[in-house]
Amino acid sequence: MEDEIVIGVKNLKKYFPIDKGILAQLFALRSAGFIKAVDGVNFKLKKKRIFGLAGESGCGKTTIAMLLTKIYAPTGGEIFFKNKEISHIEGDKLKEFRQKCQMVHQDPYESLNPQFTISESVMESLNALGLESKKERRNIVSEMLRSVNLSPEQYWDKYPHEISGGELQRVNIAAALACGPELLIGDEPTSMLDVSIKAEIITLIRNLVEKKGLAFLYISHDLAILSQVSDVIAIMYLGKVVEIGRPRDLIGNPLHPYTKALINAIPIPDPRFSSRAVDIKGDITTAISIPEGCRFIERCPYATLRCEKEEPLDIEGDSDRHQSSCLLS
Amino acid sequence: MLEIRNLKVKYLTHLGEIKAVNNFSFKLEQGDKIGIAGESGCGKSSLIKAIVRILPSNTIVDGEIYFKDKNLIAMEDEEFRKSVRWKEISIIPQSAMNALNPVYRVCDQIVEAIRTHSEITRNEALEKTERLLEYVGINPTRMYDYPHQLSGGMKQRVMIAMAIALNPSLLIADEPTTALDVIVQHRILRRIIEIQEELENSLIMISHDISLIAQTCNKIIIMYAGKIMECGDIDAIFYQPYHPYTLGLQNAFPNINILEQNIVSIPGLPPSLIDLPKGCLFADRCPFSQPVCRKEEVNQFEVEEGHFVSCLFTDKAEEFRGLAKREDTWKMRL
Amino acid sequence: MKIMKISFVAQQLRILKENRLASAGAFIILLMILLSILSPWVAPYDPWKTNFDKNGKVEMLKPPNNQFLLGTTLYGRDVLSQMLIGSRVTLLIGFFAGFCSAFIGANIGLISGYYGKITDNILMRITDIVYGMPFEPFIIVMVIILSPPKISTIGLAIILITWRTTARVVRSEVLSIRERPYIILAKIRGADNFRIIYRHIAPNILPLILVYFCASVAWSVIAYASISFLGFGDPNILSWGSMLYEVFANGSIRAWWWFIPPGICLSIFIVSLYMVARCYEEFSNPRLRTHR
Repeated sequence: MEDEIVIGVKNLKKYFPIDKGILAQLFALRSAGFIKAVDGVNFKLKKKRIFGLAGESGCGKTTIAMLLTKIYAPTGGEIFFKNKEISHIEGDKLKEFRQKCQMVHQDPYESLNPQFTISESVMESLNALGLESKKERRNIVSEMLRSVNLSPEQYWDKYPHEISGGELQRVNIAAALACGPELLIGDEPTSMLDVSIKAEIITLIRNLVEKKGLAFLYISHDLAILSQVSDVIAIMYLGKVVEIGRPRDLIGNPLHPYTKALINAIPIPDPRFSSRAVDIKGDITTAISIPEGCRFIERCPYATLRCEKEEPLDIEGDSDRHQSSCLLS
Repeated sequence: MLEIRNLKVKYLTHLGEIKAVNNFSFKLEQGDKIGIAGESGCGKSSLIKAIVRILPSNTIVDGEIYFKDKNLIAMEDEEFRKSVRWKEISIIPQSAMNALNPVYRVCDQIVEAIRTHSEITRNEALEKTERLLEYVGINPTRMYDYPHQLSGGMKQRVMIAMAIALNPSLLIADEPTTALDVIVQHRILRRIIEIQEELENSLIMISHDISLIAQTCNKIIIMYAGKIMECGDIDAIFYQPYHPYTLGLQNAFPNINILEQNIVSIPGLPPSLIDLPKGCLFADRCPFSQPVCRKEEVNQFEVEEGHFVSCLFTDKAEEFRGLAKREDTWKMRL
Repeated sequence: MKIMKISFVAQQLRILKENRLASAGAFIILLMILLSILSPWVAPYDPWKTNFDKNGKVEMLKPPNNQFLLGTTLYGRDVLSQMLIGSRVTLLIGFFAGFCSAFIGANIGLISGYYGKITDNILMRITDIVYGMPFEPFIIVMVIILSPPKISTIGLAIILITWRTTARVVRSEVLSIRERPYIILAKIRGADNFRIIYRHIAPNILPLILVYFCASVAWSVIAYASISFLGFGDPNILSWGSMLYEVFANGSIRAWWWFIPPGICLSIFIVSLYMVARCYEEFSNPRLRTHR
């Protein structure tokens, strides 16, 4: 079913303790505090849909990718994969999950082991998870390479340093798809690619999502690209989702001041559009000393007294509705 | 003010001669803000390095670069360093955040830059640094910090401060906002434009992002494989583009205000700079190329005043513009 | 190990060929290995046998001549034959102890660097302790404890003191590789810890390990020669070190033909090892890697 929910997170949290220097550790008694990288996030990813996750650096989007791929364990909240709670699974159950959830990283050059040939890299998930027979694995690798428009004969024995960035990213996608996952996470999959290659990869991702019925989490700081490619966009700021909705709604009618600022800051490829005002002040703060109430207060041009005291609205996981956490929206 | 004639830059490597810049010619008037757009490897960095003379030793430079009627290429190193670099022409390098020495304080680095190229005392230089930092939007108390204590945006502003310290006539910004978040990028660009307008110097901005150039510059040069494909006023290029490469590039930059655009890519890869193909360098990826395109090197045609295009089929531009918007036009080349 | 494919050998040959110094070094080492293997057939005399001349007198301390190309020892033994046969133990212990030392050190470095935290702490503290011990005195003490001295005990002692360097160096390299995207992706693709360490990380550290393998062989050879020279070696085993011991123990310093050949050959062997090691060091240096 198209609307089938593949993965959902509820009140997901990840806090990193701050290391203090040796002297402070020796003499101080209180803990130094935490970096609240992800501080209560809800969303659901569905089959055949691209879910865009946007935000500036430090907002927590890469941490979410690490949480979903089980590289980090959550500090709080729940992760549901098809109705099964997976926050703390291990061993065989973890291996089962790994087959269902894969990732593509932003740096095409650093994503492949320089000692592996292309075929070995693509086959890695099959080898590591012990899937299929040896002969079947070779067939799958050929099929995967073909599905990303790379000819198996040409690329089988090549090494990463012999091919270009765009081709490497396609290899990465093939490697991620080899074990037949249902959920694919792209952590800035095109940000390090050349302009004319970006579109190729995006089209490829779109086609694969459609053909294989994947749920795709597209993480990017580039709202312009997300607006073209996502079915739903979520904007993150300092560990929380501040607005979520369909591109048409979110970009056409942004409700949260941060979203408005982000959209206004994006340059338009049209010289007659002079750049618009971006009203927010200051620089991004770190997620350590987060004030009570809305965490966007210090930079928000519309902040009221209410915003300091009350918690902003909760964003429900129901991603199809246009929701904003701003009290004033 | 700056005139480049037939510039060629070649790197000598054991794999062969890498022809990074091929027959590059253009003129910059005072007060111009020229954007140079192109993908990685198109030669824009080499061009800049040739102007500021920071090319490595294994390069051959041909042609002429006239700056205020002096040929920069023919100049002696000493003279260039004393009179031109930093004083007349300065550069905000790419990855500027990595250009700061992590073991020296910010103020020390700026002061050193100032005093290397001008005769003022240390105290005067410190005062100037304070004013500069304020001017670019940094609280002057931060000048005693070390680079790692500053954010990416602030480091970039420090680099801008250094670049404008001696009020150069020409400011070159090499991808000044890569690796910066979009809001910081917006602010930095705005400041660069404001500074340029206040100090009345000229600006060359290099970027792979034509949207940035659209917001900042008044003229644009589209570079590919070391050659100029199209150049002219920004309005002319954006609204009446002629060259197929420009058309392809436009497709690759979605306008956030227009939803459900097709992001179309230009298939193929740029040509090897060691074995440059004959004729038009874009022919292999061009959906409109004909056999004649590969015969001889294509010169620039002036289609309107100040608007130059390196294409043999400028008369078919209308037709091309329509076809370029369709996805299947670009698929044919695969 | 599956990592060592046939193409690995071909790859190593190609790397060595590109570097002239390394090629020369490798050539010398191979020549020495060959001579030492063939030594029973090449050596003109039995190295232990005392040689007598026509009159029944011992051919004592004869300088190089037509009969004895490198002269004779105090006991009338042919120096050349001693050199050839003695090379076997010297090289054997060098390669064997060097290999074991590098193997142990590399594994400790891999495990310590990958797992971090407590494992790392414990292993590195042990390494620190071993680092604190002086080289030759440790071996001498071990030899005395495990006396009588035999090459097996000396070899063991050498291994126990030399693994420390490889361990530290490999560990620091592992620390940097561990955070690379392709390792995190390997985890996501389903690789368990063992697979990540040996299939993903180790191949990238191999050039570095080879550098320290060459160095370990060099240290082992020097160690054994030094110990023998000091008189703690196995008296029944002939090696270049034992030859040096004999010369100086008897005060026969004038017999230059007796101590210079083993000394020079030791030096040449060590230098050749270092030349090969340098080539791998350049190769494993990340800055040079991008030029490939």
